[in-house]
Amino acid sequence: MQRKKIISDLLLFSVILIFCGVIIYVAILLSSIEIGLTLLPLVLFFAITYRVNKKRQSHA
Amino acid sequence: MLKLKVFIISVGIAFLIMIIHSLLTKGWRFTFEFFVGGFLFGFVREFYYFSFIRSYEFPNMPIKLLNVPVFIPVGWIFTFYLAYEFVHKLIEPKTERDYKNFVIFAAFFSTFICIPIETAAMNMNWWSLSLFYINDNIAPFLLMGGWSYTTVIFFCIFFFAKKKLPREQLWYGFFLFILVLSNDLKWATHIGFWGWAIMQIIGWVGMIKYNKEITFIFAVYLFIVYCRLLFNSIPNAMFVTTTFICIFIYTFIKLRYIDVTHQIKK
Repeated sequence: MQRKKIISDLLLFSVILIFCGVIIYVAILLSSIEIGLTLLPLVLFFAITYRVNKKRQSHA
Repeated sequence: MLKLKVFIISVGIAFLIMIIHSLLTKGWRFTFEFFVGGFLFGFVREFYYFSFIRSYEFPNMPIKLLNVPVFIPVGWIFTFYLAYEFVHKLIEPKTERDYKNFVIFAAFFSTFICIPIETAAMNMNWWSLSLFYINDNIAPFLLMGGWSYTTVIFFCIFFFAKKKLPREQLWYGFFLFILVLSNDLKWATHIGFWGWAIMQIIGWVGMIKYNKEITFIFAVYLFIVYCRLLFNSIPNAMFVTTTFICIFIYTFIKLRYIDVTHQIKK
């Protein structure tokens, strides 16, 4: 069960990594810091999700 | 063209990983329903925009079906699936109230994912936009509404089909579509002022009747849209940032409220 959860999280993480990778690739290619900065709200959302999820698991 | 291939290959790989993830964690039935349903929904949406509105184009995209590049509905599934996964991690829905909150957070998530991808696409000429009041190199603020309403309608239909939300929420999606349709048709000059006004009234009344909270969020968004149209000299990035700040404030308040409600129930 734990192994399945780790694989599942890794797969999901790799999708996010591909998405962020494409955006960072474009930002570097065009030397535009603004394009890279557009990822900030998404990263903040992931951080909130991680924190809330962790808090819930510690309560359970 | 080579850079467009990088984008298409990345979307393809991410899509495959998501299918594997869905099969491993939710089984083939959910995977079939979600991915086929999402593809059909995304395809119909894009067909509508390509055929009747034409506010954007994909001149270089390969493999088109009825003039719709197949990678675009795949991109919609990408958004819907990530929204489904991460919002599940955020609130773990169980009741009808939770699923209504789920739709709100999924709409927020779609706005977070829309700005990076649309900004990259706009600057790389992967697709071209018109009628969007662009005045800097950040994706137009108006796109956030388009992505969020699409996500809301998709999840209203999906959760109704999965018997997680009642029929009223399907009606909510319908009236939201009427509202969007009126604006789209007005933009594309297919209807005059009175046609637009009647459709707007029908849309807003229906939305208020079936889900006040999401209607309130769209009303606030529309207020910012009108500010955007009135003050065209203000950079688009300013409106994008303001909307993100509003979304995060709302998210924090909402999560706090959910947390307190759960504690009271215990």
